[in-house]
Amino acid sequence: MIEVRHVSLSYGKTPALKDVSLCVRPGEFVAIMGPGASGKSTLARVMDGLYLPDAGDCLVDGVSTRADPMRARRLVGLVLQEPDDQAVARRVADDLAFGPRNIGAADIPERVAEALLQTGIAHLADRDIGSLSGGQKQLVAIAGVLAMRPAYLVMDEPTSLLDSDGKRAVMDAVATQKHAGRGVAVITQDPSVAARADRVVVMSRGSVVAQGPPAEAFAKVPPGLIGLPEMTRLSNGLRDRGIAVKRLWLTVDDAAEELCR
Amino acid sequence: MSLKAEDVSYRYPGAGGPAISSASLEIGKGELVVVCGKNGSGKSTLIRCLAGLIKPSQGRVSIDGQAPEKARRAIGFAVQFPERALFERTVCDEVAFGPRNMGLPPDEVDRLTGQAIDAVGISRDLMSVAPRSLSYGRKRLVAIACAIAHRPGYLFLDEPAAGLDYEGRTRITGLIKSLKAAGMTVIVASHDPLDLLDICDRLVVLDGGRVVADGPPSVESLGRAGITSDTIELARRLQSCGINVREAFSPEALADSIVEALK
Repeated sequence: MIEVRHVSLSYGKTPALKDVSLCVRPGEFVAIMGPGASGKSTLARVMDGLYLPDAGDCLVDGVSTRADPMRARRLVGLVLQEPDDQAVARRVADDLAFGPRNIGAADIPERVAEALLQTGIAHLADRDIGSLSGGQKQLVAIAGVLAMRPAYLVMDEPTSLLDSDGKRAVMDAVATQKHAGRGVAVITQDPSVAARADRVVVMSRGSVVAQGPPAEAFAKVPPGLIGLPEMTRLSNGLRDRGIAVKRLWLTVDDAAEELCR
Repeated sequence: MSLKAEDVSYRYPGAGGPAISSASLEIGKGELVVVCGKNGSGKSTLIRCLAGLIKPSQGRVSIDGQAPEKARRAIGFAVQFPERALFERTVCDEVAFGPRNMGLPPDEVDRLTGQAIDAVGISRDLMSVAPRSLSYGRKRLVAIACAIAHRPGYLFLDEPAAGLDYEGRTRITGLIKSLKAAGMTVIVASHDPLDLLDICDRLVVLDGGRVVADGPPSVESLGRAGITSDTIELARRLQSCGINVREAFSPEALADSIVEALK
């Protein structure tokens, strides 16, 4: 489990995280939402031991990142927001092999093939990364982290540049990781991604302002802070128009079930 | 007065195939056109050709009857993540950079700068602030203010909402709406155009570098761009279970339609 315990962190005098606590359990998909500059990307870096907190602690499978940051980095795969920050080789397959080769993995071709498959980019294996679109680069960055077979996966806005095929590929990869017992934390502005999480954590100005299963978190969140899933907007919209809706909807199934009855 | 592309193709040097193949379209004054399609479908390449930033390998583009290189002042262009190119010390200098470069007199520069800052909805109190100290959303607005400061007739925006938070996206949608209302022709490339469907005049869909749909947005044309949404999916489900709702792109429009259908 990744346990963030009462973590505070400042950049100089500017506080980025203020007493933040949350956890990501094995096999759990946690979505982290919040406006720009609410501390989400800082939190991602705390979770993989890249940043050490000023106060509080982050434990990965019971060991503090302060005590052993390298171990945390090995266990937690971090996909950065900017795919160009992560590419190290020219050819896609070489880029994916870089990490496993660095840790002396014996099964590099298998890891590369598996990661290409999980992200739906097997057809790009021989392409020059520089020739790819922004969305394709984002999938390469994710595949590069999956090739390391981390125990936990933390992704910073992995779908922001992706079309619906790419988004589906990322969400399928999240589901695969989750079913394989890996904990996944996804920072996202996309409410349709968060709607599929086990838990949603909403941050604002460095603090957690709502946390819980998606329907609960979306109901608790201050209006206008984050985008809501389309079906949640619809159930709110119908209520505003005087139609009784039993509960807040997250998915098309929720809405169809109640409306078609 | 219009922007015309006739049989435009573009091939990147060294690339196997063309990024754009035989695209023809005409965009009239005051239209809001959204160019959409999957990643790698040629959206950015097409709008770069239309704006004259790159020269088509084949075919021709004309802007109000002129070659693009002769119609530079008619064009405003905000590239993807335009805020990365902000470099001046103050918001005011940043936005004034273009008009100053055109050699306009100082009072004219001041007037245009003020107008552009007002148009994007940034408080004039921020004019003396360093652009780098602003939030992502505001930086993006400053970058768009730079693109419209010389009052172009045609504004191109490449993925204007990418990477922005909810507030930033809402501001961008509002800005596009107000620029259109002010008579500007706006051409937006977007892989995720759902926020713009209720306000755009046309959706141009690219697939593998070809224009495969061009007309008012419809569920069918969105499908060709590989775009679907929960709202579209639910409308289909409701129709199949006998609730007669209209085609809707936003949950709010679908809510109106459901209320009508249930009457």
